Amino acid sequence: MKKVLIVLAFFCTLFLVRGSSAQRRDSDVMLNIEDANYGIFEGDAPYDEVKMLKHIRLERFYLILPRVMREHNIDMWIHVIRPWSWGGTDPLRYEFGSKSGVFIFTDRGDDRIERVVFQGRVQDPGAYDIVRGRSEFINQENYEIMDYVKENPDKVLESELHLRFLGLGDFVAERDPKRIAVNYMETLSFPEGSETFTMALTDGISYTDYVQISKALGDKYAKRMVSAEHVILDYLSRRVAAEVVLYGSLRAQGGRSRSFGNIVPGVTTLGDIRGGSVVNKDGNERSGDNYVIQRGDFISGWQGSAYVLRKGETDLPWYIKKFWDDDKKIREILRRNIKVGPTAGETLKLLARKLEEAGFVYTDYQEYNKYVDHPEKTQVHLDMHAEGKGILAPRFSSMGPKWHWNVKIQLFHTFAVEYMTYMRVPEWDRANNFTGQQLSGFKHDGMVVTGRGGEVPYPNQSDTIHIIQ
Amino acid sequence: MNRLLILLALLCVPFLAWGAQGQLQEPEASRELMNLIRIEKFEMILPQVMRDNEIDMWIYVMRGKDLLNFELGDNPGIYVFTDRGSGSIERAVFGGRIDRELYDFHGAESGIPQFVAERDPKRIALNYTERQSGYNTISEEDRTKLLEALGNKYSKRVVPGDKLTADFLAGRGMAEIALYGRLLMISTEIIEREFEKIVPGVTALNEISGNVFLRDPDGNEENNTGYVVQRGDLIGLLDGASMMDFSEHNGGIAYVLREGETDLPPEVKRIWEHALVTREIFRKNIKAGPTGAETLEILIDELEKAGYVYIDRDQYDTDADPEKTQVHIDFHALGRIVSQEEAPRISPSGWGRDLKIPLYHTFTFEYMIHMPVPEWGRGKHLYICIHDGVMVTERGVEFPAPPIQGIHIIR
Repeated sequence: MKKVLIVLAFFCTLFLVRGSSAQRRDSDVMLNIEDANYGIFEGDAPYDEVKMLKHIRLERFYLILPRVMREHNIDMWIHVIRPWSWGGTDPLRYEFGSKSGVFIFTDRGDDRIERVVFQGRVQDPGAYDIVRGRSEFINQENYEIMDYVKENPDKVLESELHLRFLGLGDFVAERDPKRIAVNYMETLSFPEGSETFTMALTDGISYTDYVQISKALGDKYAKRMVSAEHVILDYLSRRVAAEVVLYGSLRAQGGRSRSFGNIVPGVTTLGDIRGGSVVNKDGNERSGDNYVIQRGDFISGWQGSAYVLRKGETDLPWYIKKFWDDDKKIREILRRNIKVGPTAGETLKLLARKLEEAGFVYTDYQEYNKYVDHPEKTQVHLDMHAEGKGILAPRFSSMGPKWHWNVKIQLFHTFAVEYMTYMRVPEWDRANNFTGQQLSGFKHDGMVVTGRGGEVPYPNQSDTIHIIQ
Repeated sequence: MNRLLILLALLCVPFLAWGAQGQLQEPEASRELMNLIRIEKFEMILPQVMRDNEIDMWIYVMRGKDLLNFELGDNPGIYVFTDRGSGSIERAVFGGRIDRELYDFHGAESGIPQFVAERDPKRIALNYTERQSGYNTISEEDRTKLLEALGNKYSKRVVPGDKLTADFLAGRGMAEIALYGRLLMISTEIIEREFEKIVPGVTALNEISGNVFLRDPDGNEENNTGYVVQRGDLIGLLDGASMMDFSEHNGGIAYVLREGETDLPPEVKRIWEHALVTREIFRKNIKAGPTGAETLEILIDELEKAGYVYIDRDQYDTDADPEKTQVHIDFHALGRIVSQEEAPRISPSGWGRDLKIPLYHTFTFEYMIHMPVPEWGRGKHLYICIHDGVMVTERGVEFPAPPIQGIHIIR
């Protein structure tokens, strides 16, 4: 017995080490990667996430980078991730696999884009053609620069600041780009508009960096600099197939239906069924673990809903049936009318029109409006923002900055099917002094846009209603 | 002491599960995911393939275990799909039981003639074929009865449904793509794990799981035999992962270092370079639209332009230019198990060569490289097989999961 226990303890210790290292793997990719990817990579992946993330980076360089640069007529893209921020707010730290560096992408005319890390370190040097390139001068604690200064006293610069982009001018001149995109902001709104709170988006370099890059490039090439803001957003908003795999597979366990089998009206509490919220027979919302479930309650939650029949009822009341039918119609409208090509704003207009044509009221506000011309119609609000990356654009929504709407829908765009519905229930309104009581719903599922339209990559939150006798 | 050990063991049990989970986890086939794949296939694939094949109605008679049990359902019955001109296809079942989440209409088998007449289809596909195929699934008795029931007018409109079935199975929704990618990643991890087991001079090929093989410089193959792995061997391994009706298999290559070697020898590095160069040729020249056979011709042309010799069998051609590296291709479908064989195929052989490559087709870059090594003597060559899962998109070929990264070194 003792031997068995010793062996068991030994193996368990082994698994303990392996288990904990398996859990740590995603954070090895890069500290704060979750922020950079809007939470998509936080799942419990049953495979090596580090390899997958590196693979996605390469696929994006291969498939997306040339397209974005050519569509924006950019010959060279210089992206500076400032070292003192440690990449904490740079939107491309995952894309480039670094928290500090000067990244230079040059369209040299063949099928691919030359990828160079001029200064800085990257996690995945194999993704680049040149790492550190011709510049040894990363910082002044570097032995190479100390040696260089000793060996070349005549070449010592006036200011240490000039070391920041030393060598960049020659590098750029050799490639002679006509238009050079650099990560500063020119027309777009400030990062707060993104709602992610974590990233500077297109507002990358400082004034000092701008001045130093201009000096390093020299007058001829400095004049060719343009803002990279739309290049950055376009690069972030596009997806490769491997990202659809990650998006779909990490969330594939969602949508599990929940069991409501043991509910006894008047006895079972919300706490007994692991939470949720309730709308009672008069349309009033109840929540909290101690709430005792009553007849006529409609229980809703992420993993399914249930209705507790009232005395004499044999089926769902009309308002729940209608609410569910409406929901199916809304989903179908969304799915059938989202395509690759138009902007998010154009798509929102189309969706609003299609919803109105189908008998709904589209509303810009995330709340019930009892003063509309047709209060009997179900009201729908949309906020279908991008998912999987740190930006919410393209965004089919009345909310957010304008550029969220102006971004075009690209192949494999992954987004949240987030919408709210509000349906008037006259009996509830009467029971509550006509205060505008309604049945409301909130959905937040996933979708990917393909050449065929909107497709569902992982199970939606359950739309099954359990009837409790 | 015993108590302490018991406590330690108990405390470690949760970590045991945690650690095992961290290692490798076959995805669970949840009912929700399976239903989603079915529904997406009905919604996204079926309308397209019915229109591509100019079919107004597809009748599929199922009497038990069937190729399409996963897609249509396990229940015996007559499944009828009708293109009524709207965006989606009407889905009906006659006889048996139905899954109400998947079907719009359920009736008795006797109701079929009226149902068909009301819809007045011009072309009706039925699950039979006029050529050798596994899609010939209707019995003669059922076929005769059904044609009689349809009457003269509609029975004349019945055509073989094999191509429609193949196209339907070959189509992939995005939930299926996500699953495909997951399985590819899992199979890659399985392969790496198997390579880790190899001890030169001790491990025999048949002790390694999967399809494991190696060839000597004359092309003689050891395949899952008792051959004991030796230093200097270049080993290929195909292994897969599956979930219910879905499976993938990937390939890996390992080289066993000789005494004194610290890296791959030059000829092994050279053959790997050929693997990458040819991969780029394939990636750039495969599109959705042409048939497998047409695509093969394009690839042969491009390979030859790049200085390779294409061979139509996986065997070194001693009559070919001895300076040139030879390449064999068998890009068969991956994904649904039943559609890996009778599906679009870019290959010199196989049933699906004449099928068009559909958008989002999932298949394998399976190609074999036979590289002459002149310093070993005339006709002597090195052999590797690459086997990576890919898919066709509007942009060409994409890797939904990381492809083989290099040749695994066994020390």
